[in-house]
Amino acid sequence: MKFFVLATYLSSLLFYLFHLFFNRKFFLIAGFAFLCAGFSIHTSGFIMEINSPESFPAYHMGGVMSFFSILLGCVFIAYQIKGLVPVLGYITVPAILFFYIFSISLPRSGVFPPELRTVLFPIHVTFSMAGYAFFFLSFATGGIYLLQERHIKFKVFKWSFKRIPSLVELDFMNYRTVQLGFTFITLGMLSGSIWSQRAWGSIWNWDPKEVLTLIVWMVYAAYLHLRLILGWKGRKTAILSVIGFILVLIAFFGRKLVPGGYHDYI
Amino acid sequence: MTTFEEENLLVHGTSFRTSPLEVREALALKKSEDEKLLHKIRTSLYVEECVILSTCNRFEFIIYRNHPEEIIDGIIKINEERAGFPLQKTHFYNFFGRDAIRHIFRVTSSLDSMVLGEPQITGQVKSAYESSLKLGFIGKNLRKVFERAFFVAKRIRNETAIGENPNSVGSQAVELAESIFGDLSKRKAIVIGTGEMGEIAIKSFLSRGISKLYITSRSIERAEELCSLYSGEALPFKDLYRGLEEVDIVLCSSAAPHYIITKTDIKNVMKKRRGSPLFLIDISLPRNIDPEAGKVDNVYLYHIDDLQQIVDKNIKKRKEEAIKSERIVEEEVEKFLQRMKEEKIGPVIARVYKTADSIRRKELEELFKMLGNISEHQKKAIEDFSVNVVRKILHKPATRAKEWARDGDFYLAEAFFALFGEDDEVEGRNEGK
Repeated sequence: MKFFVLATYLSSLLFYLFHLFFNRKFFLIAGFAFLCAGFSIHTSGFIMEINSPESFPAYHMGGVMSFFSILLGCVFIAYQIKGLVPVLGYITVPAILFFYIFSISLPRSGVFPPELRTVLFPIHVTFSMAGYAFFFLSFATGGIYLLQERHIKFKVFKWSFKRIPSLVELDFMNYRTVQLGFTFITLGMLSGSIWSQRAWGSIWNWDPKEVLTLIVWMVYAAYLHLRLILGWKGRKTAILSVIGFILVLIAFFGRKLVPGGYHDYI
Repeated sequence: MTTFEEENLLVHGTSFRTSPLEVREALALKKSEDEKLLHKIRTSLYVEECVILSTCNRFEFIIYRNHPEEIIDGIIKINEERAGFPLQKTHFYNFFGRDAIRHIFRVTSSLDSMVLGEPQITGQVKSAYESSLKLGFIGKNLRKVFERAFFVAKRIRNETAIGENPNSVGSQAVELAESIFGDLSKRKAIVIGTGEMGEIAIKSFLSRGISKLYITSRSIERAEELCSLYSGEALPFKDLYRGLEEVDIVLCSSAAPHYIITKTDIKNVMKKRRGSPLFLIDISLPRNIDPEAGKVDNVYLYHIDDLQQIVDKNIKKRKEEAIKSERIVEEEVEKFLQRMKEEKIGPVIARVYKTADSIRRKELEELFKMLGNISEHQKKAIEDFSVNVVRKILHKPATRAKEWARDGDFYLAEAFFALFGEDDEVEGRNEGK
């Protein structure tokens, strides 16, 4: 199973790279088809691991990474249905592959922790991870926006200029993905606090992960606020979305440096 | 003639390279004149296959006929009648055979265009060909040439970047606007001033179907005149800043000796626009938009010099691509001629195979009669064996004959037919058995 997923994701990446270098439509379609195939096998494998409704496989770092890779694939594929945006694939497909390899390289802990045996666990994880997946896409579109803006503003036209969608489209995608990401991460935090209230009697515990996520949440709240109230658009918001995702990564992996808290499984 | 003979192909014509505009203007086809002219050429010069290509840059007859060199004087006479004045022979060119094929391929692929790589010419050749086809002036010879020419044009467009980078200031401005806004059909533009360069850019933007065009000028009459020409809306000059808040693209080509739009203006406008991107194109000399205005967030300012620089680079790139394209044309001319030669020998080879096959069948029948009761399986094995023997014996001579034909050695190719083709003696001996 692992081999098939890896092989299809790798082929997808290969075709996207071919498209990057040779710019033939066939490579793009093949790359996307392989991605969809990899995504389907990967997702069905993940679902098969669920033995009972309450044993969601994302209870260890490997499972979480695998799940994130699935959600990223899901969100990316959904965004490509209207029309393939190759340049977004150049960034997202390697990320999907990276998180998948990361997930299979980590040791699996065999026992499902009994304290996670609640329906709130998959809800909390799915909302949070979906939020992160959207934030990844906003990071990607923001980065591409900054590259294209550089081309146009400073009149330096690299080969990449013609391969990138227009600034207005990128800006809109950036905004939409932040909106969705923000909605999901808010739902993730809410479901987390309900769970916390039930299990430990308080909705907020100053757990390191909670604090870091709150910072991420505030950055994206600021993004939406500045956009709606002050009319920030384009470059500034693109930079914010890039910073936002870097903070997401710090919040996710950096908290390992601060042991303890309720999120010790990952 | 049953097969294509390259020496029967003639291109007689004139283009911007060889003649002044007046000559081309006098010759250019008027509306639905092609039918009359084609019939005239057919009746007076005995031409069965002909295409007339008439664009603003060229006027050409492409003719397929026996001994086409004999009718050149006749064509000149017809042309002179149409033009109404004597024509100079030096303004015209004649291409025959291989050169004619190369010329047709080059013209169709836009390698002989005034603006290298411009895409319209392929369509113009196509419609000239189609109107000849509809009127019954296309036989299988010109059909082969033109179908190949369209294929070559497509190949060049796919394999080289000859048509990719804009080659005029107007189309470059449009490409930049599209890289900012995407689809321009919902975008609005304003034109400040009524300079001539501005008009060129207006046309480029209108061709992309922008939704609204404001024109403003200190002289309202001139603005209104342009408005009626381009179905725009005149805007009083004092309302310029209101206009800037509403539109997405600004084309400035006024003759004012100072800045009309300053950085502060743009800053204020951008606040009102809530950051919506603004594309400023300054086509005026001296500048009418403060270069500093381009530093404001989400504002993109291009001066005509910037655009010209990009266009110059693009044209250089196109010239590089043209070298690649010429190579493709050369390759395709060669391939086309070879294929035509192979086509000549094709029917001969087919007949040889047919004769051999009929011999095989007859012999097989005799054999089966002689052998009497044999199983289906054995019959099948013997039949396969006979097919293989015939095919293998003929394979090498047929391949050779094709090669000879390709190299123009038709005597040898005919020798192949004499050796292996249907022959009374062969038939007779067969009958006798």
